[in-house]
Amino acid sequence: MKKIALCCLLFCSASFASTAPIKDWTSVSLQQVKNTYKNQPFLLILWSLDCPSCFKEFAALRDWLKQHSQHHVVIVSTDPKAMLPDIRDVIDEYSLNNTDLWIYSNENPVKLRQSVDKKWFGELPRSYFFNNEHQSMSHSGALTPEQLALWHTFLNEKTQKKFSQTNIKRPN
Amino acid sequence: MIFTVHKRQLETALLFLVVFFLSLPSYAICVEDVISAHCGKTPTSIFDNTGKLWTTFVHGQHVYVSHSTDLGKHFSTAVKVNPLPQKIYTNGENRPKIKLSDKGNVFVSWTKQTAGRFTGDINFSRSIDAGQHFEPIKIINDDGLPIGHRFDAMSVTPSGVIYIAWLDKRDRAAVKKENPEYPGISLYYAISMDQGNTFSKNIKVAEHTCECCRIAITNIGKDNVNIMWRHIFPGGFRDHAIATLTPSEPLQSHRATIDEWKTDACPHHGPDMDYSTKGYTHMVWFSNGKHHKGITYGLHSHQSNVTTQIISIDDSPQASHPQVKIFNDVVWVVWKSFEKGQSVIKSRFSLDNGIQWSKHHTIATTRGRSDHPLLLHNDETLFINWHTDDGGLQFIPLKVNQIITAQ
Repeated sequence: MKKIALCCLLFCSASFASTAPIKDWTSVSLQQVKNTYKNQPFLLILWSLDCPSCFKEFAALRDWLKQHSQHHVVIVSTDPKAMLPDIRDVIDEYSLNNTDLWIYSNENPVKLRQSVDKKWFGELPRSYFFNNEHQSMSHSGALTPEQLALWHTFLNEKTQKKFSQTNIKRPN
Repeated sequence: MIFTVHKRQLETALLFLVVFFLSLPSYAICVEDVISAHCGKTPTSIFDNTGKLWTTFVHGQHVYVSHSTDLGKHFSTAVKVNPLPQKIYTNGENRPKIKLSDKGNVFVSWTKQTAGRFTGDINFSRSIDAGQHFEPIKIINDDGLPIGHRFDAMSVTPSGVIYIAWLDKRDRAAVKKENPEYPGISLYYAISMDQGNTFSKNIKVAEHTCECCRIAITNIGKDNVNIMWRHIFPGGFRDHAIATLTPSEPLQSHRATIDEWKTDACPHHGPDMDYSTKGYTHMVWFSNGKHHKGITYGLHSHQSNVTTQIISIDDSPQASHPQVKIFNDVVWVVWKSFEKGQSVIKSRFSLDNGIQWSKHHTIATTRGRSDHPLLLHNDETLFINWHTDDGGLQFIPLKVNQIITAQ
């Protein structure tokens, strides 16, 4: 009986994992995310299917989240919505179903890009570290395990008011 | 109130509707089943030497070709190029290409998506009956490996040599185990000396190219082409390189831009160029580097292999996907930007070979999704090939006089 219950539990977990919602990212979604994580830090990652560096980053993120699943990670696909099945496959493959998942809505993609950051040139992956006051620092290119480890260190500090107090820096 | 509709009235109304819809440009009646250049993905066009416009596009899992004699208001019935369905790369940077020969042959290349991630084969087909039928597909990459061969670029020289170049993962795949940090992938090409009946073996141009940006290609002289691509230089700088390809071998490649963009991000932004008969190549490119940001123009000398006359065309983060063309001694640059909630096609021109430039001009706008702008010309006029969700495929003329008058 216990085995059957365990199987059911595993089956339910697997089913749940593969159906985590992927929401439409619109030009007001960043504000929604900030409201959701009010007074809490979060990591925002934008990526696309046609971006080899994004997959390198996802591998590092998967390993990091295994150790630190308590941290908020928001992942936004910049692909067209027609690519949703492929996006779902990637999310499953890299075990990222427990993150906050989004995909660009049908709004003009440049408008969506501007809604995140008017100074961003569109290169991917693009990441933003938001502290608890929602000040942010950006990074272009794949995040490394070392950068993610620094972010964890920063999150464990009692005060997170300013990034200048941390070692997280935009690489040269 | 009850209306009684007689059969004759119904027939008249239906006839009116049919005539009405047939009189509209075909983009006005785009629905899922309509196969047309206006409704397809990534339409790309070229004029033949009689002024007829030829367009290739993707609908579903097929590449199609159709032609127009009225600048795209009406297109011929589209002809299927690949008879069996395929997954085809269709984004602004990686899209089917179409070229023509003086003999009236039609050549189409594209990247077929194969099993796996970032994988593909370079496909080619030709029509030797003026676009009525296309011959069986040839796979141009000859390594037989299930890896990445993507971002094809094609050109046909005045002497009739077909060049196809692409980004290729075979060298990286060969050293993956011993060197997992091998930077980038490689650039290969093949040629056909018999109008696309057969192709040469694959020839390597360079290793350590960026793997997600289109390649620029343009004819130089009777038999050769110039090629420009985003390269990963020592130190991880993703700037650009240029080389001349001949039918037998590539000549030495040179660094074409010095932006010092140190990143491992994917820019998804390839360069463009056009060769002037005076021994110079006009180049435009995108960067977010230390020295140049946004869209930059430069003139590359094939005598000194140095790029000069470097000027910022548009340094805003919204500037994207530039094209350059020299036409009737005017150098034109067009690009896409985003202003006040809409996508904008902008242009600048130079009347003195790229020394002084006009200010920005807005050529067209759309609120919906849109493709990258592409430049093409017939004998009289330079046009922008631009596809938008709202307006279908448009051919927008570029004329200095009209722009000056409009100011």
